[in-house]
Amino acid sequence: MLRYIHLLIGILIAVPALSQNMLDTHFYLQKRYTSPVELLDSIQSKTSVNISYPSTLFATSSKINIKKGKYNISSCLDRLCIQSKCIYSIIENTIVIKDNSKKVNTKQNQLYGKVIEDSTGEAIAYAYLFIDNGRQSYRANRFGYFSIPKPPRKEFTIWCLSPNKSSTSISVKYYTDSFITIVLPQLKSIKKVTIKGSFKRDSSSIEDAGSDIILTHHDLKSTPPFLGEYDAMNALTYRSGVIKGTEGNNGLFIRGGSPDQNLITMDGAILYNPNHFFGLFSPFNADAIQNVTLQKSNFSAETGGRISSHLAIDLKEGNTIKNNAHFSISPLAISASANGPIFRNKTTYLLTFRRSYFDLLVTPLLPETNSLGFYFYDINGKVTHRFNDRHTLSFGYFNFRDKAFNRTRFRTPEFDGMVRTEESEQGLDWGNTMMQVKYKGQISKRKFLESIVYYTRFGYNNSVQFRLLEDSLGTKLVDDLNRYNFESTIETFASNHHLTYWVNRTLDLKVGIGYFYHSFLPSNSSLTLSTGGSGGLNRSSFDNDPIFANETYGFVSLEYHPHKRVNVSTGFRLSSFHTPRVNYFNPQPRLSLKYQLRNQWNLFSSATQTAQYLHFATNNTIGIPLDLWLPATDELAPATSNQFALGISKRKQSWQFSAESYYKTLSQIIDYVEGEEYLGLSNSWEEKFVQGSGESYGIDLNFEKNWNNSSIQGGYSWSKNTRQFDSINQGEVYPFKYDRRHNFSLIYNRQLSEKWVLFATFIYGSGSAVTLPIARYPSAGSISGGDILIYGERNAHRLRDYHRLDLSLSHTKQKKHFHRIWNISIYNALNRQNPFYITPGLDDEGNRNFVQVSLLPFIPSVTYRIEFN
Amino acid sequence: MVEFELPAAPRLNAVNMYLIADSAIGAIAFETLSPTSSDSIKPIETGSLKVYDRDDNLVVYQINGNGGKYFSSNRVKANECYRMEFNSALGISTAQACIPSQPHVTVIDSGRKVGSLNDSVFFLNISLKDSLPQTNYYKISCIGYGIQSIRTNSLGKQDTSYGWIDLEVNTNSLSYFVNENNYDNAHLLLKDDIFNQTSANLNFEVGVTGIQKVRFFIDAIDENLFEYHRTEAAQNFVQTDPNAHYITVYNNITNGFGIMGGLNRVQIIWLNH
Repeated sequence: MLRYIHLLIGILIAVPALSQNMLDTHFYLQKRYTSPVELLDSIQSKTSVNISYPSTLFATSSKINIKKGKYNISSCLDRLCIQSKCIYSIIENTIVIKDNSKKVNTKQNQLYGKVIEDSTGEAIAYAYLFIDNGRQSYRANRFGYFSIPKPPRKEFTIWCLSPNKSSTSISVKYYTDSFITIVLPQLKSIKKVTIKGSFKRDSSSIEDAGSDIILTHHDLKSTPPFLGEYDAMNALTYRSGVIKGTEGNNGLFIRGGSPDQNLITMDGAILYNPNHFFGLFSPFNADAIQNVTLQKSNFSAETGGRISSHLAIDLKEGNTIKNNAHFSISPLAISASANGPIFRNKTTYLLTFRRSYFDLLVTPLLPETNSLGFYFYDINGKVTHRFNDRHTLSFGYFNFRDKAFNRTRFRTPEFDGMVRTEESEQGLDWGNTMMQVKYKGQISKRKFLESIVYYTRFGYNNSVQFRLLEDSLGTKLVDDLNRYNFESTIETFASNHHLTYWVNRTLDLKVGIGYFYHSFLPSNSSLTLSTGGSGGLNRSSFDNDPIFANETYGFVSLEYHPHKRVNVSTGFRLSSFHTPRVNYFNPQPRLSLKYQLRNQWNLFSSATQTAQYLHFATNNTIGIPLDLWLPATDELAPATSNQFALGISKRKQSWQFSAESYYKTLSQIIDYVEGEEYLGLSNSWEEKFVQGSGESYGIDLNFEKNWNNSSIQGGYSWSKNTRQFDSINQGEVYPFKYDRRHNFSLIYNRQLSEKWVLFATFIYGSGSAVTLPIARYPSAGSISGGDILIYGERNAHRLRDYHRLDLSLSHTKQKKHFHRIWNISIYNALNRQNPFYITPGLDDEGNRNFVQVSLLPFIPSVTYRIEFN
Repeated sequence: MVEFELPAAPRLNAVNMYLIADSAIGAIAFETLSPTSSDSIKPIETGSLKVYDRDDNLVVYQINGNGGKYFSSNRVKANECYRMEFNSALGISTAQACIPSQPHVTVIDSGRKVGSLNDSVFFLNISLKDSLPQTNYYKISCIGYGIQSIRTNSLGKQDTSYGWIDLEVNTNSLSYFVNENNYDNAHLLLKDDIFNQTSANLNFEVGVTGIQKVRFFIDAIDENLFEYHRTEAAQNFVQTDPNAHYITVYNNITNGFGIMGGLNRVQIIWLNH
């Protein structure tokens, strides 16, 4: 049983700056007060503020002694709570006073707690905490929890800032051991809030150093939507070091890695291949997202399983105070979400649902003889129960699915003189389902535990079927079916447990273990053929037996702050992968060093080794993904990577800059054997792949500048990425397909007025590498038929450069019961014909040539959204 | 839209040469051409072809092209290996291939299933005995005037996706099988993975209309031809898939392109009478 020791004389003030005015309200006490109740009544009557407290709070309290005189609310409540052993905070413009009378332990002096948002009660990740006028700095973890093992014994101030630079500060006064909840105001607009007090945020922290990209819910809503949909993956591509594949494809290529090398987790649970709408955007509903964190380097030992990056999607838990609901309709989809308390401040829920409606509008209008359709949906459900401030248990469910179909009905004259009606149907669907139970909590003053058990499944299914419906006499024909079905799945059960131990002021320790049980079904085909006429059916299966694998890991990570300008992080991760045929073990050391110069520039460097036991095979079609997850086997070794990075950064209140150079090697990555295309009907899939290596190096630059009502943010990357396979390109090194030398992006936001917000983004990238045929000759089998194409060196040619300007204008109006938002967006405002692919064909003059095909031209869209808050 | 400056296409020999057991030697040669050139691919008229047997004895000496075609009445034999040298102004190209043994095919059943003389479904049930221990390769194709559909339900667990898919898809075209020169484009490729040194039963049904005869070719082929046909079908397959991995067609001609392969054929003819 854990004991939480709170000192009675501790007093906590956790107030948002927007509420600071309320606490600054002055009044005059015309007499000395000895009764807390009378004092509070007097404050309420003099200032009109709402003060809430349990009726039993002051029932047994000894008398207080508040002399007459001039006070502000803050100073008066400080005195009250010191004498009456209470704490107070502000929630929704109400001052809430609570009991703080617990046992005293004067030997221990510990401060720990959680940072939350005022209007929602949602945790704020990675908030900075500065004490002692910036001489000590701390950072809350991804779930908002923090611990300050040895704060000064005297009264002091904590400055708390959310990672969102547009946010605000909070002052906290502290006297002794306590769990505190720091409440930060919700960011209403990009307008900055001036930080009051002597401490300046320019006292940059060593914690700032690094290349992690953190996007809050607000950041996501600050990028122009695509077809009216805000998308986390698209938003990340505006950051340096992150590029998209082909136009309209949201696969992330990070520092020379491919999309499968990105570990994508939702609340800690792995998702496989999350793509909507043929890869145009992700299935992550922005209304459900609290934070998105992308690590490109400097992986702690906690992170593993993929070799390029970790993209963590953290969902909201739901408003603890009141219900919220959102509804929006865009040209692409209808979206609805709701969250709020089931039991106030105890149990909350989050529900989001989004579905495209193209099929509902268009398919019924198509003739029965030729119909097609496509739809997708995604669902998020989450229930979170807070046992108290420190312990939460949540249940999560996520499901997304895309389905496309094309149904054709036609009449065919047959040999026997009959005319038969046949129907053909092609179907394609894919999706991911995830269920999880997660506990997180501060199990003691210095220990934070995160435990998760989950199940996740990705499935891909492709089918073609022909069915005879009836003959010319109207006789129904049954059981006359030819059907080809292909499916591929991966299922994972996982149990992961990570413990953070804030040992002392200079040392943090993290340990963890994890277990995954994988079931792979890389390709499973079946063929059902009628025996002719209306006879019986024969079924041929090309089933592969599932491959079962056990994956485990354990890690130890130490973060050492010997000095306020120095941070050393080191760790060791050991992972293993076991199939009936093979066992793999991979030790992965990690090291990170950060040093702050006297002029507050941060230097940071890291060396990491990572391993990946899952390979991914795709034919990279226009998002019609033949996306197969394959395990490491005795013939396909796990992929590994080493990365070394060195960077510099500085953050001031109005601007920030960072630069990071890196060198990365990739080993045992896979590609198709030359001449192979994809798995198809095959039971020997391992033979279709070869393993080779890759190399990537470059530099990523990011900058950001804020003014009163606007901000500009940019990123530039220079990189070079190559691959080498013994049996590809005659063993010579060749450029990676997405080896883009220069990438540049710019985001501009401006709050035009209280109601109008303008967003503009520009993105530029050098052309991708492509392999083109360089000659042709006639086929041996077809004298008069097509030619055989001869391809040159792999990826020796370049597509045109890519660039795009997007604009977005939003108008928000407060109605009686809700906010109404109109958004007008223009995707590709310059109507740039960006290359999707090129192919040999006929040009405008009818001559043989290479022809570029573009996918997404100038696309305006309008989105209507209402928010009930 | 012209977007790309390609380097000049390599000018090399492209030689296609089938060695069919107990048949005359034949080859056809072209000059490779840029994929963006609007010109027709030119046959190599002035060149010579030499063919050597396993012991480097000259089997065919210096046959010259006629419209790019090089023929000799010399016959090649099963279970023999041959080497060729093709010499033209573009250089000397070489290759080698072996001719497999004749496939052991037994017709179990055949006949007309339904319909009249003019509209019939011809069915054929054969047993293919695979007697040699090494990996053996087969290609099965079918030609005939008026074929409307071909299907088989005897694939087994085979790596035959391209061949089978071609066979199905192409049969939707009424004209595809009319030209006998095109029969190679619709074929079933078999590798004896699961029936090595045993037998495989193969069932075919061919829907025909107004036809006089249907011919089935059961070819034992060497690995060169197997890889060539497999990758050629794959290259065609991904032509409509712009972002798919490109497919390099198998090529065993040194200093040139094309294919030299060995083949041994059994033919089954069904007459609709």
